[in-house]
Amino acid sequence: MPDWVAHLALGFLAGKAAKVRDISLVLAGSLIPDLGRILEFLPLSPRDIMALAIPFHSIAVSALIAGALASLVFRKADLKYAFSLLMSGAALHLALDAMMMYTIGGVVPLAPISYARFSAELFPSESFVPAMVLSLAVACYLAYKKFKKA
Amino acid sequence: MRTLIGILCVIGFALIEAHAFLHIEELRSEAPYVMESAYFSGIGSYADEKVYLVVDGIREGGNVKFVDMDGEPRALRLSSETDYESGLVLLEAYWRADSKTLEGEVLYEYRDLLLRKVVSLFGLLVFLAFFGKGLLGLACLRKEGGKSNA
Repeated sequence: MPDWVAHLALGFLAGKAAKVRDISLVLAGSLIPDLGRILEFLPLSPRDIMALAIPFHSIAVSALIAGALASLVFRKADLKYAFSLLMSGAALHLALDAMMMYTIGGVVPLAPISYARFSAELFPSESFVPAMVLSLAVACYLAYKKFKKA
Repeated sequence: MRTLIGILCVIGFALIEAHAFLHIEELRSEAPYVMESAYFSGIGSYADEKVYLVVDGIREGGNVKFVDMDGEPRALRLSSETDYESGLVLLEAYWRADSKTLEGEVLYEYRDLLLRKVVSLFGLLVFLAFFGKGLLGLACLRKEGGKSNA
């Protein structure tokens, strides 16, 4: 969880790079795979929580959550647009998590077809390095914009 | 049509969650041990193989008590002598066929579950804030007759 700051920062930078106007939807989408954390508030045993939380870090579940949110909340004209932004954020989240080395959990991209984990194992999942680097990049970007405007 | 897509997404999500739960239960039934209040994130064998265990609370001075598949009580000796009083602990354990014992080492400890929940709750609020902002942003855009850019 220390990495959700990193996910927001990556979503922000990617959204700015792609010149997305409604960047807040990319940011919301970049937190979708971590929505499984809600399960921790339910009266379930830790092992059941973990079993249920695993599929949240898959392409299928991220797409279904983004699809449900887009279709049930947004109007018809915005459905595809909202879905694409939410799913872009979720895809960025999965891509960043796939760089991490997880001792538990991690990205299972093909669930429910396969529960095999995918990881490039570049950083430990508890590491604050990605969050710090990406946050610094966001700060640099915002400072650059401010100075450019002034 | 829009509502139907949303409902189908929710049904798909529920089916994948049920599948994941049954998948984990199946793995657990094939595991050589049944832990009490614990979860297997990896499956060990009776050879000198590594298993990962997540244990919900270790209160026996660094030892974990559990029962094997035959219902026989066993104990897991930890390399570390630290007394982990509460929280989830991830162990890397090796089954020693010669001595018929598991020897484990603590890899990661989720000691402060309350802090974890607070951080998760904050993450959820951030998600809702960005999602709401995106929703309002698109609604305003439509009202003004503007066009979004993807």
